[in-house]
Amino acid sequence: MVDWLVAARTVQFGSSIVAGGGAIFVASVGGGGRAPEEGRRSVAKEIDGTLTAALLAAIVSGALWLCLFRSQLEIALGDDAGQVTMWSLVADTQFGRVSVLRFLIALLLTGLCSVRYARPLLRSQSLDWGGALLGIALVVSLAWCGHAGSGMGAGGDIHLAADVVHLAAAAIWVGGLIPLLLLLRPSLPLTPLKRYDVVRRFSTLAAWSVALLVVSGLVNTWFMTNGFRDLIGTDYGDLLLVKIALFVVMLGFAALNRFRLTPRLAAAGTGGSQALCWSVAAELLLGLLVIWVVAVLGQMEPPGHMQVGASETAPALAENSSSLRGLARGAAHGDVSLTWLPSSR
Amino acid sequence: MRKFNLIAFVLPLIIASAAHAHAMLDHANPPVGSTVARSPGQVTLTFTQRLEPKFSGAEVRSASGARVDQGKSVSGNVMRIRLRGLAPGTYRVTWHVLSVDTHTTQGSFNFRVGG
Repeated sequence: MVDWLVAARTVQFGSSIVAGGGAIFVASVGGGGRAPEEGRRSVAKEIDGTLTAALLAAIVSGALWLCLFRSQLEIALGDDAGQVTMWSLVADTQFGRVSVLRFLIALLLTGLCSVRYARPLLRSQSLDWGGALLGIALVVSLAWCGHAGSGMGAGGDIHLAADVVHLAAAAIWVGGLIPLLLLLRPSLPLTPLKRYDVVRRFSTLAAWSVALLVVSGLVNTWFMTNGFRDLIGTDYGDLLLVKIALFVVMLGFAALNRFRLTPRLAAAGTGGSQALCWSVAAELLLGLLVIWVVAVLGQMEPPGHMQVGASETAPALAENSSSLRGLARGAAHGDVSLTWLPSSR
Repeated sequence: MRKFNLIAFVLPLIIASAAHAHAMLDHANPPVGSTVARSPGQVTLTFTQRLEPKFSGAEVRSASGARVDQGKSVSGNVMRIRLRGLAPGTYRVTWHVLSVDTHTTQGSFNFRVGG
């Protein structure tokens, strides 16, 4: 049976990253919309078409996510389920408010991409950068929909900031790969030198993104795994290691592209472009797999949030404890017996 | 250390996976399982994450099952449940919360008033 919540989250993260990263690519690397060559103008339309499709997917999956959240909450509240209306979710929960804001951002960006698609002559640098800002907002607002948006105090703020940076960097890298592929494909009538120029500009941006991903990823991991202590030996930590392994393989492809295939691009012409296309496609596929893993991780219990439901099975121990965190860890290691209280699903 | 099993990870990604709890009780006042000399004016529950006030609540019942709570207030990660004057005896606090990251949790514990 398909877990629709994970499916909705995967599509939401993936489409937001593709749309946001693509919009940033167009503004910073250049989708070719203002270039005089016919080929580059046509690819600019293709990029905007792709962004529009991704935004529509983001809108639909966002609505599905909200509906699934409502049904999950109704089950959890049981007799009080009557108070769960769509309006109350939107008005009374952070997730609902952020979802509405994200719908509006997605609609605005869809409008902007549609205008660029239908009226290429209206393209301008300021319009492209306006799209990039909306794209960044669409992606980073996801931070308020997950674990990082629920923390407390200074630690919570640092975690949230790290998540914002992580999402933006992921979008710049992974989201930029689709427009890059469209520009690199051999059938496009571009000179090897122009392809090389596009790849070099994107590579510089992606390299900075990787650096930010590593730093922000370390901060996030610190918070989610009790200072790396639970990175190994917990379900969450193990799946996080799968994500990190995929990231390392992505880095391998990125290094191959930057240091081997890109220099050959200018010299080898179409042949070099084809090799780079395959390698970028592999990088993109891995990036989408990482997004899938992230969607699952968001549904799991991070060890850094692991707590115990206060239970009468260990009252004496609880009596002497100012916090139940220690008991939770003790229970995880079999030192004490506590009743675990799972969520509604 | 547990043996790393790839299948154990891949399968949950494909089939339905359980959503897990997030906001959990960090500490309570009166403490979990404690005995207090006099009736407390309120029960304070502090959770590990920020809560959605509208969808978070708790009730306190005496050993006979009678409700003794008189409403709640939620601010950040703290929930306060006002109480009537409690006679000596055992009381059970049952809570349910929605954290701002959309996960629901519930739990309960006892405390005692008087010797």
